[in-house]
Amino acid sequence: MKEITLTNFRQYIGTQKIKFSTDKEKNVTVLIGKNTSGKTTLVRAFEWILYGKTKFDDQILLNQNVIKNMSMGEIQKVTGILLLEHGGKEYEITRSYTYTCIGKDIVRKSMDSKEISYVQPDGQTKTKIESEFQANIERILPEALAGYFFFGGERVGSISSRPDIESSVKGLMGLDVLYNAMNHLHSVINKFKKGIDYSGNQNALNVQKNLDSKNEQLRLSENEQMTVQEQIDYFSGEKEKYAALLKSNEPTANAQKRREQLDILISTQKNQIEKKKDEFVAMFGKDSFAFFGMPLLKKAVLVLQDAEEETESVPDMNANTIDYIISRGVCICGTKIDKGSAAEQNLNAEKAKQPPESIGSLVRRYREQALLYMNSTDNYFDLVNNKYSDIRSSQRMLGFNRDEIDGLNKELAGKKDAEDLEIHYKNAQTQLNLYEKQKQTLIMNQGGYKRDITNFEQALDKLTSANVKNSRLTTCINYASETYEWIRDTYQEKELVVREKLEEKVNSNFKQMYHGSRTVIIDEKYKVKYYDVTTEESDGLKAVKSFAFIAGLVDLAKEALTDKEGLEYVVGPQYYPVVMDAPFSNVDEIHIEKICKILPSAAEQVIIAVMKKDWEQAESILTPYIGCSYKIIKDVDADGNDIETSTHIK
Amino acid sequence: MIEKKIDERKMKLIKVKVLDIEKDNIINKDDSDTIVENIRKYIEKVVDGKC
Repeated sequence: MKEITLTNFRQYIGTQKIKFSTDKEKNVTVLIGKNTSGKTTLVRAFEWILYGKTKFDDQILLNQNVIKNMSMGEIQKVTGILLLEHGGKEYEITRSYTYTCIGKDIVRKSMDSKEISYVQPDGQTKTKIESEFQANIERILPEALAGYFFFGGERVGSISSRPDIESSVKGLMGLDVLYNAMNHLHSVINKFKKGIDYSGNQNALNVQKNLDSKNEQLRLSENEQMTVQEQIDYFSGEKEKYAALLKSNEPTANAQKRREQLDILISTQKNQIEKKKDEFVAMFGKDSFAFFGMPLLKKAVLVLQDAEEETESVPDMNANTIDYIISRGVCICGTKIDKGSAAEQNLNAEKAKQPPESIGSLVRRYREQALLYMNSTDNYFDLVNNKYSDIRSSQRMLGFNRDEIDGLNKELAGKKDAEDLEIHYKNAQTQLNLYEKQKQTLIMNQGGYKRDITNFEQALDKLTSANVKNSRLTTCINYASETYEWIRDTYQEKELVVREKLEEKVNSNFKQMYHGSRTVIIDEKYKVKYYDVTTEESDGLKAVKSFAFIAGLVDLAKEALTDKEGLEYVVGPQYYPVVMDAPFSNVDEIHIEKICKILPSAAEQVIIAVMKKDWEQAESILTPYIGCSYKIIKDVDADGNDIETSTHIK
Repeated sequence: MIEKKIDERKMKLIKVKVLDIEKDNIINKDDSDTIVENIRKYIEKVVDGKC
């Protein structure tokens, strides 16, 4: 685009002209203005001149100041002239609306006109092109694609997810030509087929009936395959998405695994501690009285050690035993014990040594028992101490593990559950396998239908060859079918190339523009998606993604699509400008810098209308690329206030 | 007689013409029936040896 001239267009009063930079190196034209100065209006002026679009709330395009000064019946014009070069030729496109004053401050559009002229090489002579205006504009800048070059006041971030993106990209890359040709040729083939005359030939009629039936089966199967393919694409995307999520979620998954291990460990430790406590209590209960009585026992043993054993007696003998033997009258040795006998006297003497008559034995027994107790408590302290230390040590370990699990709980709060992701991933994989299997079955069936169709067609050829008219139509069908197949193959091949190239370019731009390490993919609908879907994208990130896409698209358009056979199927190279209004509004400082480095090299020409504050960040980067710079200035009244209806470009 | 073998010259003519028609259609936006009819007539012309 070389130049735009606006006369009384909206707030632009009088005639305002902007010459755009056409320098290959310095291809950026910048228009700086404050808010509401008319930046968006300027971008919309392009769409009005080219396509007659008026996206304003107020449909009156004539400057309000001009309207106020019009008298009844007076006529005034709004004019826009765009001078541009296309295919080595210079064109002047003019559009104007004529308004008539029909009351105070009221005007009515009375006429609109548009004209496209070819500027002769002398640069002066203009030759009006008489053919249809819009058709010529379509040749230069197709309206369907305009949304990718003129960004007037909309959020740049929404560009890469527009609903019409697939048809637009296909249009830009010339794929729509092939796609439409496929559809039209299909209709042509059917038309030829309908023309074949089978009257009077029953066999041919039967074969045709079979052929129609097989064709219908094939069509249904192909339709079903498309549905199955959609499912395959969907679950394939789901699988990739969850694989990426699982990968990016690996630290979380590890943390979850550790948490599960700790849960089991803590439960085991708790049980072990309870068991140890029980053992401790049992151990304590068994010998504690001896342990705690030990100081007393020791003292008693010490005292009793020196106690004289006045009597020597039979061990473990007691007075009751002796009384029993005497009353029985026979000793355990068989000696008869008569009253007053020596045996009785001896036994009574022995009885006298036993408690309660004698304390000596009691002392001895006490001492023996005390020593037994003391011996039994020899290891008691160590055992209790060790058991207690063991319990404390286990409790400490339990504490550490509980601290770790608390930390993990905090770390995992709000994170995606790796197990859920795994379930989703496996589900996608299962579904994918299922649909792949269905697809294989369908393809196998289609092979059978196609074989049958070929056989029926050949049979039909033979049956109809006798008829000259039919023979001619069959030949036409053969040529049409051959052309259809060639176009279908070319379309499929080019479509793949376009998608791959676009993805490559968008990724290359995205990597340079975005500070992170994300990768984007272009899906089958040409929508830009992140390879790793982990977080919600910010407005800034959306804008960066869209800039990467726009730059990739205009860059790709510069590459011609050619046919490998050297046929005249050539689209491009096509050079498009990028016209943007306030493109950096949602983008942070770092990204503004990175975007500014890419855009001038990707697009043929960049025209940016920008607010002063945003421009300050971009200026240093864009300076080497700036060919022309303008200021959009509002006039001010006597009090220094802006006049909303009087803007100039300087 | 049925023209069994595809004549490469005729084939090329048809391919080029179909693409030309479709390219024009992107700009002129003719209705589908017109385009189908244009392609059909051209194929007949080529088959009849008039091109």
